[in-house]
Amino acid sequence: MFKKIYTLLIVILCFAPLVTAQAEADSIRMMLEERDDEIKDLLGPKGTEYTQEQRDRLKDIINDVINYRSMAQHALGDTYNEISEEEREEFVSLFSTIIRDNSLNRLDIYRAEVTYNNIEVNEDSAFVATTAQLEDVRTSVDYNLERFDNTWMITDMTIDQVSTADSYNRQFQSIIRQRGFDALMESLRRRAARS
Amino acid sequence: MLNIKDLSRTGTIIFLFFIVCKPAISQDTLFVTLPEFLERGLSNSGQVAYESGKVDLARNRVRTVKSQRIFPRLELNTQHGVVPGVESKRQDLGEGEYYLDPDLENDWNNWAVFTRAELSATQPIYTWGAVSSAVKAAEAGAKSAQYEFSAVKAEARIQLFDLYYSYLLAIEISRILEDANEQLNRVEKNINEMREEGNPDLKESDVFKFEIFKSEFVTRRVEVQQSLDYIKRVWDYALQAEPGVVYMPASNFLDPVPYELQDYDYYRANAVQERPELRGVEFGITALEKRLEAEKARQYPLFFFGITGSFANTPNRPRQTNPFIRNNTNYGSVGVGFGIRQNLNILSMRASVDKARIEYKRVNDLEKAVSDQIILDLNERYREAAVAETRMKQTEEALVTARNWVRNEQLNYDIGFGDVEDFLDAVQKELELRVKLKQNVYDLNKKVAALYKAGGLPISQLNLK
Repeated sequence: MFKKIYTLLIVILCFAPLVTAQAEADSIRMMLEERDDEIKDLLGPKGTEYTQEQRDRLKDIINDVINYRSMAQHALGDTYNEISEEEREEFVSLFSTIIRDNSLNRLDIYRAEVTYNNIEVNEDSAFVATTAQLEDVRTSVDYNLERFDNTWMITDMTIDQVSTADSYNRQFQSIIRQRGFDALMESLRRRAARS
Repeated sequence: MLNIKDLSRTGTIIFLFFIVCKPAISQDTLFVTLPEFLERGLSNSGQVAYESGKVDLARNRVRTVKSQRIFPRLELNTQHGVVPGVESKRQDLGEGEYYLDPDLENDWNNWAVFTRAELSATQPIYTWGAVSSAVKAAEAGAKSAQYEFSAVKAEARIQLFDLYYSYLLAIEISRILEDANEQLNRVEKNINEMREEGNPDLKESDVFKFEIFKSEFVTRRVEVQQSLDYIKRVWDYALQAEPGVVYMPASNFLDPVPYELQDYDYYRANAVQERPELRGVEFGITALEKRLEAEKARQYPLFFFGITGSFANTPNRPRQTNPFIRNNTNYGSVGVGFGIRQNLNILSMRASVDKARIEYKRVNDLEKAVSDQIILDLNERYREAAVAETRMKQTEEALVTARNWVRNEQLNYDIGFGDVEDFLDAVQKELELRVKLKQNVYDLNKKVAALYKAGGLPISQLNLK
């Protein structure tokens, strides 16, 4: 009798992580699909003119699932730990402003049909591989996600095999090396002011 | 009542009505998958049809040789006509004795139908294996022809495969050029803005470079458009396109075929087993071996069984009862017997056997030659496929780097550190690599298909869609 119970327990313990991972993968997919549907509803057909209110709403939906602090930390690399708390806060704020502003540069891309190729969940981090197809243009878009307070958030987007966080990191490091952190902050302030 | 003028006016109106209402000739677009394209292309290929005729001929030869096993000579000859009767003035002769009357005359008032039939047949009993060897030779010949046909089909299939992917390549490159055109417009707009702002980062050399690039780009677009038109025409020809129907690949993207390079030995072992050219030659050897046996057997006597029968009937002519006196219009006879036939031209027979022996030796040498050629071909295809795979993967990597470069330059612009020359170089390199990658994917697909053919593997094993 006990032998059977043990066997059952072992089976449950073996399969439990798989079941949980699948449930998490489903929840991530649902979250991304809901976001996608919401964006498409707001976008409407091609050629639609948008009011400022609609643009702001779009910006919110597109960006609300992105964790800017994490992305900004990755983008700044080791320098993030070397600067003061105030500088960090300002950097994160400027960084998020620029990305949020850039997110509306090409609205058409949000009309693409999304195919989910793979969702991998590993405890508190996840990787989602998708293909976005807009008319005859196919783009691979992959997301790195992490769980913050029980909510999955995007920490990096890899578009056509180019990581956004890595690109910023490479660029910021280059500017810091050549001109220093202050010059970078100055440029970011100027850029954010244009938003 | 309408007069001529009214009729003419009405006719003109009706004519104009039909002209105006004539539906515009619309073109249907038919999307074709690769397997469908291969199937349809093969069924329309003149070369494939011609080669299939050779297989039919070889099968026909088998039937002909087999038919020689049973009564190879069986003849029936009949004659029919009307002939007058005979009359004799002598009263002492009965009808069965008319041959004794030298003054026998035709009876022109008595006409009747004359019928004669002659049957002759011979059936070989023992041929020293000549007939059975000839049948086996013909059967092996038919199989050899079938394999030769498979080889021709495999070659045609490869050509169609290339043609299908050529279309996809042309589509992909035109798409990249469209995309590039958009990028160029953005860069031009950027340059104009910098010029208006009086931005010191804008160098005139960058503008010149950009203008040259734009001019070269126009040539490239025309080249691609011409290639696309050319491929469409070849497609229409290969598919025997119906008027008003445009054929297009069902897929819209040129991706590498699902494939994994195996060890060379895998392809070699399969080629030796499956290459239709080699199998064809193997059956050719068997065919000539059996033909040699048949030629040898023909040197020996042929034992046969023969039947002969003759019959003639004319009702108005007397039938002779004397068996030694034959009346050609009324008789019946039958004979059954056994015979031996021997060709005594020994020199001619030896020459035939020598000829068969030389042909047998030649086809054995051919097997070695085909085998050598297959191994050389396979080595070359394997090398090409391996190189093409590496080239494609490396181009993929280089493209990711170029995309990173473009992204960096865009970011530089975005935060105010942009450099026109660097940005142009990055965009140009990315475009070049995108085109190169698609060309390399096309090349890889071609090389993989060629490797499959060289290794005797059907390209359908690539799980094409």
